[in-house]
Amino acid sequence: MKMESCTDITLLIEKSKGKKLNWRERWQIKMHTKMCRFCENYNIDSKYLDGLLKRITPRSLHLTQEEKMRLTANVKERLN
Amino acid sequence: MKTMETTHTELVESWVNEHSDYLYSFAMTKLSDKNLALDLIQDTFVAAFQGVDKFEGRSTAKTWLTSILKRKIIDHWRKETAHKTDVASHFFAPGEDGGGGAWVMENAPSQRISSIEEEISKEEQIQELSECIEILPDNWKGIVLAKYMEGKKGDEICMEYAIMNSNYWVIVHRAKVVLRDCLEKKWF
Repeated sequence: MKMESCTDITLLIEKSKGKKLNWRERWQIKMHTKMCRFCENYNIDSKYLDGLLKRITPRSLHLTQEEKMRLTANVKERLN
Repeated sequence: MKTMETTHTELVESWVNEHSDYLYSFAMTKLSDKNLALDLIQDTFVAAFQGVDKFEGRSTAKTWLTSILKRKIIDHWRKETAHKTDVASHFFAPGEDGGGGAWVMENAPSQRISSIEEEISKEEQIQELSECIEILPDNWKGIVLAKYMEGKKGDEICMEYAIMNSNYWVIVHRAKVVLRDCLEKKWF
């Protein structure tokens, strides 16, 4: 069986979170990460990164008064 | 009696005052470039007032402005995708068959960012991750935040961005490779 590349394996690792992989794909990940330290690290970190990403919260941003005035002026000018 | 024009002028002022912070915060979850965000917000207000007759109370001004801005951002993404640069291209060497290959040594995951857990507070980790997200191309950033921060489903994101499911996974993958590496370089 052909050995899958690191690009393919790490992509499969991501896909495994959205859909059920077939036995062949799961086996490929297992065999590859046994032999490849980088992909093994990626596999572990990928889950960790998901946890961090889920905790990002929307930031409430503000424009300065000057930016708002410029925005108002530009909009008015374009409407004329 | 006020003419139609004075009414519009006053309305521009009050809508900008009431809604521009919200529109700006919204735009910055989908774009990285502040000036671009401001330009698109300006286009949004102009389009809104040009079509103000169509609006007339069918929804709140905020909802209506947001839907216009959303369309402007999507138009921008589509243009951007046409000449995108792959910021992840220096992570994997090209494979023999022309597909993806092995990790490029200096950018390979040689450390586990997950091992930092104890040393840096969670809040700080999330803060640093937010900084890393800014280096992603606009549409990747939008997709990553829609998926994780907004908790949207893959199908919904594919529709919004007009991308195929396979392309969606490639973007999620490449974005995470970039983000993981960004944190590894910050922490080790």
